[in-house]
Amino acid sequence: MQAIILAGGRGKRLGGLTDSRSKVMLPLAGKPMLEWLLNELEQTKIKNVTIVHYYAGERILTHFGSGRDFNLNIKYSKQETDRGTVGSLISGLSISENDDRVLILNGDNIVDSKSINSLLKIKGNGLIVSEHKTPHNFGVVELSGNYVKSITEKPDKNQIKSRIVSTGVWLLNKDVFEKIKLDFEEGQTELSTTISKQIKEGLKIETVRTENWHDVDHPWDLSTLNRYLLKRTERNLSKEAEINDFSSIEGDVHIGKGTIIHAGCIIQGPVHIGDDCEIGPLAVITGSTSISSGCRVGPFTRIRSSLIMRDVQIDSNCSIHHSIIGPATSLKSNVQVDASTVDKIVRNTHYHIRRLGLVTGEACMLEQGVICAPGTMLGSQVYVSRRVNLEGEHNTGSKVIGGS
Amino acid sequence: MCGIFGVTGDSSTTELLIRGLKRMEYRGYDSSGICLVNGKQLIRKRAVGPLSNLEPLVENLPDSECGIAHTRWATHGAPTQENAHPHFSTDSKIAVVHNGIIENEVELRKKIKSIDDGINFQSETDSELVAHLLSIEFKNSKVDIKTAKEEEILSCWKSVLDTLEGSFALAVVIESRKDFILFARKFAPLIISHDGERGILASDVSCVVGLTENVFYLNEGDWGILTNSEAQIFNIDGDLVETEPKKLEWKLGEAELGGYPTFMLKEIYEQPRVVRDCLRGRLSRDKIKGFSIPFNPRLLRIVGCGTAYNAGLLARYYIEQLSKIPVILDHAHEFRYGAPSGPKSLVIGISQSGETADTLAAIDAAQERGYPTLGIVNVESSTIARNVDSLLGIRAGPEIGVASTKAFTGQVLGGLLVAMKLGQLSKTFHREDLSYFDRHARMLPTSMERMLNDQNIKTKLWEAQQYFVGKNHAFFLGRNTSYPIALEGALKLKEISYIHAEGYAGGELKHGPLALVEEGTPIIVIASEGSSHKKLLGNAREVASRGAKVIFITHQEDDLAESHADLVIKVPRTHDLLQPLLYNIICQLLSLNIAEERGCNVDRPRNLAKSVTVE
Repeated sequence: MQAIILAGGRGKRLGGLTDSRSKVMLPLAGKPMLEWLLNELEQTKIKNVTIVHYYAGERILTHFGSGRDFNLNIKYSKQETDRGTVGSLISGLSISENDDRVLILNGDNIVDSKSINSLLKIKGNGLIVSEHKTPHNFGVVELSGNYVKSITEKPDKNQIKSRIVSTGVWLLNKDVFEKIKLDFEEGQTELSTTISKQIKEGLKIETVRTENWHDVDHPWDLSTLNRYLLKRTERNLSKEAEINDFSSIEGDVHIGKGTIIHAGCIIQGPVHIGDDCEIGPLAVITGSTSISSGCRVGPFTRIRSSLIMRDVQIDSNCSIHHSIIGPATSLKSNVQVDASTVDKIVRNTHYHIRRLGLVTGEACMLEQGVICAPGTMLGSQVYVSRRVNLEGEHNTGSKVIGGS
Repeated sequence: MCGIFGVTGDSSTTELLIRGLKRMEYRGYDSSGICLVNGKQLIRKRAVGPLSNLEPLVENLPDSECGIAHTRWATHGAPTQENAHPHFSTDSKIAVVHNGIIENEVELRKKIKSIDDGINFQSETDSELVAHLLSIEFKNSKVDIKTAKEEEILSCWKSVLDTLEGSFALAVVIESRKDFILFARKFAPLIISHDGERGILASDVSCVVGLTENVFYLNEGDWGILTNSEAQIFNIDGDLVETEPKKLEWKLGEAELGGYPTFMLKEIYEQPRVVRDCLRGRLSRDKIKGFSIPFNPRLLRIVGCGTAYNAGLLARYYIEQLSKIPVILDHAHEFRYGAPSGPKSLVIGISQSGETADTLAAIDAAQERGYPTLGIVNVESSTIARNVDSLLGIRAGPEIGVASTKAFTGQVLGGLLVAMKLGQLSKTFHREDLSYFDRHARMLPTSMERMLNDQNIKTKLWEAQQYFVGKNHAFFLGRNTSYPIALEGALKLKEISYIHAEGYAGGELKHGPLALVEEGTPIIVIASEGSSHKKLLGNAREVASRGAKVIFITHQEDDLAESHADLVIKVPRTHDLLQPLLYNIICQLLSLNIAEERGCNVDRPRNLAKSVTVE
């Protein structure tokens, strides 16, 4: 049997972070989200995987190749247009005609191997479900015993019948597919809608419950998932790293090869620092922070609970916490980020975020002394001049000039 | 050029040979062939055209534990089945595969005829002669090949090698002897591996990746025998060479398509990684490190061919600008046969494969004159890499597409690192210049990633491609650091799409090329920096007013270009010195799209081969 992973979507709500990569390729605790999922799959009996890609697919190919380094045989199917989940599936299916059952997963979710193994034990069709705080953003599942009674895709808030939602991890027989294909030809592009129809016609779908399902929709979800995945970090200081004896590295800290930790740094795990970074002297990095490869953190700078992506340069005496800094962003000295409780309303939904600092897209440049209010969100290539008091949202390419 | 491959001591020889040929097909694809040794006779299968023509012929061959294979890029004799390797001796008892050129072919032919008039030359190739010479040698030495000891066979093999002039990598199998392969190399690449059970020989590392982890790199003139239990290597004087195998520098995944439709596209998309790898450990805020300049020169000479020459031209601009040291740039073949004079200079050789025959010869010539040498090379186990005084490996990983893409990026960065280091030595490139550069260089991979996924650029590229429909001529214009990109853009377009394309410096336009511009001629203008940019805009006007369709490649902060061109493609702004690399990616993508639209095989353009190992 093989798995089909739907990895075509961009992740629009993540703003500039998905300008040159899709959501599934965003790095969390040292590797792309999709790699975390494949690592889980690798621990099941599934060996053949087809990744269906559309947006920025080349990045996926470049990273995973034939799958050899991940102990999987990976094939790819490129969608020519954005055709919704069923469209992805159909194009994936043309590759796997020999199989009588397939496992379907979303590339932008992480689910653990234990739940996948339970699903694979089911004889007929199956679905992994999970409880969720905001079920109205998902396909809400009504159960009858262990079986699906109905699925309602993104229902109205007032009409929610349960807090159980579909994780999008399906185990489906081929005959179910044939019907999905027919529906697709008639213009039905959402998987859960077409399956709902089949359920009404008598299709049985057994469910498996999981507590280990993680979904990313908004930037702050990245922080949450990063924090969760960092718990899996084990202490591992690469022999090819250059760590000064007069630095303190405590707890579960990963330091990659080629990374230089200068004197007087304090690093307290869980922290993941990639390859070829340069930290310090006298920098402080604490709790639930990921720093991707190629980053630089200058003297006296403090970073806490943040997700720092590739090739980011943070100069001296900055204070960054509860932030997400997009790749190749440059923060010059004395940039201060303030983090606190933030309330945001996105598409009529109110989000209460416990702590949020700064979120930047790709290749932003913040000059000396910029002060960022909690929840400041920047697109890509945003330029902010010296000592600006930055707040709110700024679109890709904008220049924020001011200060004194 | 051609690729040779051999296996001994493995029961699935045929499968391994085909696998090896697939990996090497980029080295030549005019014809291919294999020869297996089984108990009774040599089994040979050959086919003209791509490897897929050979595959059906080898499907049901008997098992064998020893065999050789070849993929050919024709030099001597047309690509026909007769000229395809392996070649037989007249009695069909000896088979040979060869990469290189035997220069004393004419004399050897005469000699063979004078010794034995009965010998029939079955092909027009120089390679066939080796089989006949060995056959004669066995006869003269009264060696019975069925029962002869290894020493006797090796002694005959050495005698034959001593008569050969020119360049060669050779592998020979003999009827009824499925226990060994003879090999030799001189001025053509060959590597050997043996794990105690299986011996492999191959023209390059990329085809043994995944089969073995340790390889022996042979020196010029090395020869020997690969038996089922070991590899014996002798040097040119006949002494046994005791050498330790080296660990392979590449992983298998890097030599595979991994889901991409073509290697060229894959390699274009690898460029952000190439930038990171090439600069890793070498560039920091205050130092250029990780390689040495063997000599602090008053004059530099750069040699290279094709894409490497274009990278060398850009390196020349960088070095002259940053270090104020004059640079003489030569095509490697012209340097070699010219008579370079003047003060003692540092000679920089640029080559992707590190096996480019002309560049290798130029490096040799430089060393003979006592000039220190520095190599900017991708394959760090290659001959050039081993021969130069100082090596700067560009770390691009295996480049399989015949038209070079990511290696150019690596070579340019290599040139830039040398320029900055020289600039520091001559105190013309200061610490603050370096730290400013460093900040932007760290952002370059992301800029590349952004442009490679930019929907707007994709649309513009499609529009630009329409200008080339039905056109057979195109021009690329640049000035200063964008001039080498114009040359490279034109080279890429002609290599893979077969459109006649020329690159010119903008200032040269009115001195001749302008006469060729007619209604609808596509002209790609690549923006330059500083004062020359305005001049280039003027050049764009000149060609536009003569009916040309102008495509202007520039950066996001240039707001002058729109009024001077039919189509403007904008890439992210980066440091002046790095900007040409982003423009070049646009040229690569444009050529790729045009070539694919015209139905060309972009990975294997007609008549071309990857590493040019003959002069």
